Amino acid sequence: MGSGRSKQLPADYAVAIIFLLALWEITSLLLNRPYFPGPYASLLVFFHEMAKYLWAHLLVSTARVVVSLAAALVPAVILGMVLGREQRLDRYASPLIYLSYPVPKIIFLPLVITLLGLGELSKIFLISVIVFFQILVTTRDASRQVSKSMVDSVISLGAGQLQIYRHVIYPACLPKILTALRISLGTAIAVLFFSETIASRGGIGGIGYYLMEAWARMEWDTMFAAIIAMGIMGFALYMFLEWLEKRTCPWEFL
Amino acid sequence: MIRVSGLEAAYINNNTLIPALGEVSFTLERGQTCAIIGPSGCGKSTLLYILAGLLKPLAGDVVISGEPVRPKRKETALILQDYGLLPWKTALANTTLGLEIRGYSVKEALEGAREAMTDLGIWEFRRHYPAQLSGGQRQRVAIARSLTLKPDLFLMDEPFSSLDALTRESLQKTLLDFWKKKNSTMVLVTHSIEEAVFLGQKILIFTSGPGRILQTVENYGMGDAGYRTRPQFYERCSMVRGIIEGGL
Ligand SMILES: Nc1ncnc2c1ncn2[C@@H]1O[C@H](COP(=O)(O)OP(=O)(O)OP(=O)(O)O)[C@@H](O)[C@H]1O
Ligand SMILES: [Mg+2]
Repeated sequence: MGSGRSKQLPADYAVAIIFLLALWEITSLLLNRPYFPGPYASLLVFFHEMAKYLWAHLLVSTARVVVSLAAALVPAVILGMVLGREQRLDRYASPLIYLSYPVPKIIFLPLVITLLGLGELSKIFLISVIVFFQILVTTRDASRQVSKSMVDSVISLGAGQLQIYRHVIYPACLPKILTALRISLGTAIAVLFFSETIASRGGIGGIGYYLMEAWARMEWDTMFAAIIAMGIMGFALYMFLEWLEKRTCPWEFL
Repeated sequence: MIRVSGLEAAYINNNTLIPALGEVSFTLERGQTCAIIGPSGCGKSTLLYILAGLLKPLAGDVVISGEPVRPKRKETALILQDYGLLPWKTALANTTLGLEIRGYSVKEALEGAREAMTDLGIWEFRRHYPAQLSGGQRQRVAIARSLTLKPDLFLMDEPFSSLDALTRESLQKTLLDFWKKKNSTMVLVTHSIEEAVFLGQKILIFTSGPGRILQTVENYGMGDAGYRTRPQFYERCSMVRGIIEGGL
């Protein structure tokens, strides 16, 4: 059955990219300010900078996002699936989740830096915690909605608890987990940027750090090169998650 | 094969007891078929869940094949109206699931599934996901899956109620053929009087909830594919209809 997902072609992406570049060029022309260079100049600087140090910053930032998402994903999925099925556990966990979920956890950044220092741990910890809650809540809700008769019919085939999770709960939650992950990706990159601008010691500080440095030196082209790098990172990770969903949930794309 | 005596069942909701089944007793011999019919909410599904060992009764005894009922009895197959199939597994993977869960090797599971799916004429659809199958094909996959487990007791909860009349009749015939070939015991919950008379040697008619057995009809003459067109079939149908309407 069609799930209403549109299937994008490479050509559609090309049109979208050309449109965005044109919009950028027009804005730049209209503004006509040194701090808003056009796409051509920015891309030139981007490739130039990539050849120097930008690639290393890009790599570091990407690694941070990937590691944070993975670190949040595994416990959030396991806990979410269990809470969705075990009402007794959920009775205790739900109030905790509802109280802590809406708190903007970014406000703990100074505290986290004080506790964990300026290194990798503080950034990864903060991103993971924020993303953890998003994935946890989605997974728990998805796990709750798994139809009882589906579980019953698998039990009647002789399935134990682990097999119920493996054959029913996990696959039922998987598409929603991947959607949550895609939504979390935006949050993760935003938090990453924020923590890289604040909690960096110099050196290969990541794109956020790189961008703020360029900004401080008023090197506008370099700043835009960093913006392009951040955009490419987000787009690539997003496309990876799309690909992953197509690979792991083929029944969603019939 | 099945001996149910003094069975009562209830659900607990917010600390209140909701009776679902009141005082049911009946027996079913090995190889017999039994159709259960009654008004909505009278506890038919509840009874089936108890027979499958998925629900504990409030009172009474249920003995299956000489042993008290227990969950996961290997030779019991349960087929539900919907949702029996997992949407994320292909027809083949759905069929092998029972054998896989019971620890058979991949090769054995595949062999068993191929045999059952070929018998039911759905082997060519093995790579399809449930969403790509018609209702009838889906129900055939569910039946194939239970056949792989070589059950001696089939429990079915309105297995054909979402199908169109023609598909429904063809599957009823398939089921009848299987029953005659394998001589397994069948309990079938249905809303359709025709289905009950076509497939049930014994027809248990329930009162409205909490259900008790209003009357048991011994349906002599059932068991051959031509039964549906005989005058006797119509008589039996109107008799069952009369009992149901009289009991309401
Ligand atoms: N999980 C549940 N919790 C509480 N009450 C339930 C539950 N399941 C069923 N009941 C109640 O038990 C009674 C019997 O339900 P059951 O599903 O066995 O009826 P049924 O005969 O199968 O009905 P139908 O023909 O509509 O399928 C109903 O009154 C129903 O409201
Ligand atoms: Mg029912």
